[in-house]
Amino acid sequence: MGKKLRLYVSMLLSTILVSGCWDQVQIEERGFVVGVAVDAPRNENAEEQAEQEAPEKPKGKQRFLVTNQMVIPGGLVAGGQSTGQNTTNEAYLNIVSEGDSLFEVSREFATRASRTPFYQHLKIIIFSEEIARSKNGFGNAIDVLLRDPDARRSTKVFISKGDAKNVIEVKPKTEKLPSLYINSIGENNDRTARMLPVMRIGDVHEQLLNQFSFTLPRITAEKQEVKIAGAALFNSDHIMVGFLGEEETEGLNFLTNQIKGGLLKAKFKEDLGVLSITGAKRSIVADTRNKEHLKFTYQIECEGAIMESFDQIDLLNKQVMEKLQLAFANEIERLCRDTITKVHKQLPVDVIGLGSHLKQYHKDLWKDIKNDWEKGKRLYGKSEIKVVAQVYIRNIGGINRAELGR
Amino acid sequence: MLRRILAQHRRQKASSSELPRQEAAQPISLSLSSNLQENLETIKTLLGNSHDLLTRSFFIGNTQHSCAVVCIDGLANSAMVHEQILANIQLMISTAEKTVPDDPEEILSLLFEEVLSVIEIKKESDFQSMLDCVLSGDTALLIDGTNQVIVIDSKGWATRAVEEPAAEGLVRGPRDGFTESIRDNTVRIRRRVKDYHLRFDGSIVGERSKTDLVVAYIDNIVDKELLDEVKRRLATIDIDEVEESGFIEQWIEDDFLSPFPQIHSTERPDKVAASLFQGRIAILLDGTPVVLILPVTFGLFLHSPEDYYERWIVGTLARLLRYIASFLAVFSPSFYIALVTFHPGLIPSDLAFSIAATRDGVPFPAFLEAILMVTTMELLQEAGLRLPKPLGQTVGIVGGLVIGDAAVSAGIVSPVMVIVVALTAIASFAIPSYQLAIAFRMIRFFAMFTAAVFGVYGVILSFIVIMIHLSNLTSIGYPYLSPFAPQMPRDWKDLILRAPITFLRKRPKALHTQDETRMRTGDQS
Amino acid sequence: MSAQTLAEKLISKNHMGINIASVTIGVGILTFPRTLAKATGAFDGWISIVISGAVAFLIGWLLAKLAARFPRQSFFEYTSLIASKPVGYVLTILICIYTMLFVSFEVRAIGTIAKQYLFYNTPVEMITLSFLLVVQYAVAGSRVALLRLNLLFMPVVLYVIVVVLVFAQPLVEIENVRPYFSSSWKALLQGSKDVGLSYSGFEIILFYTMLMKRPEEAGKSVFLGLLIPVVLYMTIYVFVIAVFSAEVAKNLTFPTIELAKEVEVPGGFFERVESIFFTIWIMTIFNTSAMWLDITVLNLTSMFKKVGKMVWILILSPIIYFIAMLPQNLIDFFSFGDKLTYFGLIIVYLIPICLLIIAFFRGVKGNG
Repeated sequence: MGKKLRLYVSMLLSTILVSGCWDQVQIEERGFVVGVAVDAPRNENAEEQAEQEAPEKPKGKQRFLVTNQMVIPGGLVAGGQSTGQNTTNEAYLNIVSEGDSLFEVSREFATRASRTPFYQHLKIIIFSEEIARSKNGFGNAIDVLLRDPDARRSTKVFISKGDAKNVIEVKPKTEKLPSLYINSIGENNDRTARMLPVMRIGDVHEQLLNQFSFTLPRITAEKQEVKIAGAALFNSDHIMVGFLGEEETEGLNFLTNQIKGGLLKAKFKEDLGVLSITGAKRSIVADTRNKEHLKFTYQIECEGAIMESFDQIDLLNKQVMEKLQLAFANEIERLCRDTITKVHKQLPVDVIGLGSHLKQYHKDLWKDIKNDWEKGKRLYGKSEIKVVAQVYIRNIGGINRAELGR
Repeated sequence: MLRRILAQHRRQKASSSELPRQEAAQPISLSLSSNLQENLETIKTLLGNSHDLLTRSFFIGNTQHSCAVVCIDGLANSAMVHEQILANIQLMISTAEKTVPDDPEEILSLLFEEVLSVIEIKKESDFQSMLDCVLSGDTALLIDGTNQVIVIDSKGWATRAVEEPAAEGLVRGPRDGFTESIRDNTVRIRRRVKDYHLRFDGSIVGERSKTDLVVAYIDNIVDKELLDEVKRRLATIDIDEVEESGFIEQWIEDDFLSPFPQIHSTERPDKVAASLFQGRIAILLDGTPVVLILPVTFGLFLHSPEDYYERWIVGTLARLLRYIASFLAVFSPSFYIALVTFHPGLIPSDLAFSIAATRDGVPFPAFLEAILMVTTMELLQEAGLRLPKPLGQTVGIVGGLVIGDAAVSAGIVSPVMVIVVALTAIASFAIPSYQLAIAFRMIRFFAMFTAAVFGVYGVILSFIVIMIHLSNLTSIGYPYLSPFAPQMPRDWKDLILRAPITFLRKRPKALHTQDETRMRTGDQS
Repeated sequence: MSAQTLAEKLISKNHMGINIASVTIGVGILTFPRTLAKATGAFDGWISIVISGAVAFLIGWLLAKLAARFPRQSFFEYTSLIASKPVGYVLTILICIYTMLFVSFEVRAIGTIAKQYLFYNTPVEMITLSFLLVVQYAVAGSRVALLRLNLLFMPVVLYVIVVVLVFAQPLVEIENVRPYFSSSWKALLQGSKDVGLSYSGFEIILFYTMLMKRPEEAGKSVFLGLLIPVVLYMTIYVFVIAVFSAEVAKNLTFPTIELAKEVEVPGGFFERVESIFFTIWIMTIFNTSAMWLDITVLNLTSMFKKVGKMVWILILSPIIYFIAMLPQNLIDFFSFGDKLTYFGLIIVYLIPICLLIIAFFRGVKGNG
């Protein structure tokens, strides 16, 4: 019996082996998609055509114009000796298509590209302002990117000012792949305070499931480069309501405790002093006595080192130093006030973490006013916000003065 | 269970189906006659007048009693036969002025007791036992008129000089190795183990080859049940010839279907001595420098004597490296297949793109590519092994550099594949035991097949299957995977880790030794 | 067989604990953060884990008491002693059905989840078949070798989970954890009930106690065996909530896999840990299903002594395979698991406890 069993098992195994290998796709046959840009279609030709062909077809509320950036690995290899099928020397290929479902569009690429799109190396997703502002665009577009087991939750998400397609089509000088170029810029927020920290698609999912407003980093395309600075504001219905400028983003980073680095400029006496931020901390004190009129105080503590001092002052003098610290603190307060004016008064969206603070520290109150915070009675708009900043200068650099006072 | 049936089946078959052989090997029941000439004729007939048979008839001293010596040319030490036997009998009797008795029986006892100054000497009366001794190098002295024969130990044939074992070289450690002579080998062990509890239990295996076999152990350390079991298994050996200890190994191992070696073999006396002290048993066989050590565990194959000779940090790191090497040796081609054809998402983006770029234009799927390269490597290894040393290196260079480089530039394989195969080869050379390295080579193909069908899932399934097999495997009844499973935390000190010498107070628990302690000083318990 | 080899056929207290931990950690570990977050809606779910862990330990301790009353006797033998032979037959057969269904469930889990995360075109039938063959191979070997596999795989699994958690640590956002103690008692109890389903498995103590060197230590084994999953579940839950927040955890099909998916090893050879995590998890499922199949075979051979082990494996495997192929989708699959656990609740928890009470009052005791 034993021998027969062995025979059957080996027969079965060889059958598996012979007929197997269902999922084998050679690595060079995959089309690695590293970047996706989602736009709203410019004209409605395609939609009308689809309408005519099949009027009964189910339709989504928003149509998307999707650009996939696919890597051509042969083009990445340095040097001219390309043995492969690469005909041009480009390292990537942008494929554009249109449809009302992102998955449909990605499958549609199969009809045009010899390599099947493969999304596990997707680095960035860029949504155009228009999609973000439309009522169903953003949430719908992001669904497949979260649902697909293929997609990773660490893909970075940006909102482009203008067309997303233009962003992904920049031709950077330093990198061969625009998407990787954008990807690495996105990680530079430890050097500038004007950039929001990276929002990965997993974080976006978190925000979409929360009832708060949120921000996403803004990206702007120029000819040969892109700029990631500023922020796109989304209200609690996940519709984009506006942009924050670069300075306002700096304030926002202070208010949301997301400063990783960057600089502060302040005018002291006659000329500028520049502080390199090495760390900042924020805490919120809430006065919850009056539910209709909540009072919040932001306490921001920031430390840094003097990098430039144009006005020749004695930095080793204690009084001078204290005044200098005060000047920087005032600058922080100004930045924050500007931001608050925009997100609190002009477009009431709670992107500065107040609701979340109430939820965490005043859970009973929060249960009460949850539905009246940004919507309903709009208690957020009725609250009062104060900012108090404190700066500590830890280091003045290698010299006290560069030249003697004029 | 299934396996046991098969093993039994094999043994039964071996003993039942070859009846004619047994008849041929039937012992000669002839007794010696008292006629010398007749006896010599019989010997010549029995040995078929063999070319190397030496017989010399002569008279004892100055008497007329004729006698003869019989030995095999080359096997017997001819100087010794001359000086101790011929000269003694012919000259000493006359110079010592002994009166030679008339009775042949008395002559025999005189020679036996007084004349022959040789340490090993005995009397035999039948052809079988006499020939057995003669054929293993002794000299027979036949005396006319008696039906007894004196057998004198005169073994002395040309042996190889003691050399360092080629396959088990060390940077630090003794340079001697075993040779083909069992006596030399027992000497090597005895030189290291001067404990009077050391036992060499001798026996003869092989119906026709009559090979000497010695079971070595230290009497008051070894587990008695283990010893009984080993002896029981050795007793079942029923085969005409035993050329090498591999015959013994294959006969007494637990599972003949397993690719894994269940008995360790070595040419290093220091390793054998250390194993004996641990409570293991060594089996020495005449005619081969390879000594068997048993029982073994999986971990033992990844140990090298050097681990103990070097300081413990070095030893530990070397062992860690070997465990990694064995993993790489088995699984790196299959991981390459799985990652490249199934899960390129797992590879870091930049690496994935560059692998894709290098594979651009390669006509074979990664699996075929891997099979092609791994098989080529096996061929090279086998070819290099058989050729004389200088030629072997040439093969290595031609194979490794020329074929590898040419295959890449011809676009048949990708450079990454070459790296993976090279890594696999290097990793398998880093495994100290050649036996285990061969096992890994076989398993490598199995893992590659599963990887080709199921990707990483297949690799993990093949890993599980190997683990199931290892967990079921035993070496002379001892669990192969101990002390991993069954867990014996005490033995972990000398497993992947090689704890400082002073920490290794106890012998391996897995071996159930009678005397567990190695170090008595400072031992509070 | 010599005495020495016999001694190694028996297992120690700690080994039994590892067996229990191995059988407990199974499919549940991937899904429980979702059900728990759904029930409690907050970080407080960890309290539920502890509560249900304590309840599980209490039940497990009672089961261990029952089994330890009859050392070296199989489940069938001692149930027959306590409550007549026919009852023993009926009960043991019911348990065989339960354990067999459990194997089906685990095998199917492999198929479903592998299909979702590792394969696209490979048929589920083939994935499960290959897995079932491996399980068969394991059960066909010796029983103690099968249990030793737990000793080999459990540390690997724990190690990989710890690595995943260490690399997940930078993703932790402390805001997600607050507020503490916001869930009601009702929610916590509901959560305990839900997470309790992922503890099922410790009932193997009923069947494997006969293999223990000292059966009276079975209670301690249950404690160790449940301590590992309790601590593990708590850590995973804390990390899932801290990384995702409770809101997100509710909406992830397999939150634990998603956690591994979030993790990126900086500069590592593997960019995505989740496939590695998943493949390691296959080992735990393998252990779980191999043990369940082994218990099924153990119980069947204890009832029908004439039929060999191999025969039972060959009879059971097609049935297991067929049942495993029944669920049509994820919802079916999950409800299959839930129903199975409720069935088990009666068969392996309630009835044995009743048996213990009967045995206690009637003073029935094993020889030993």
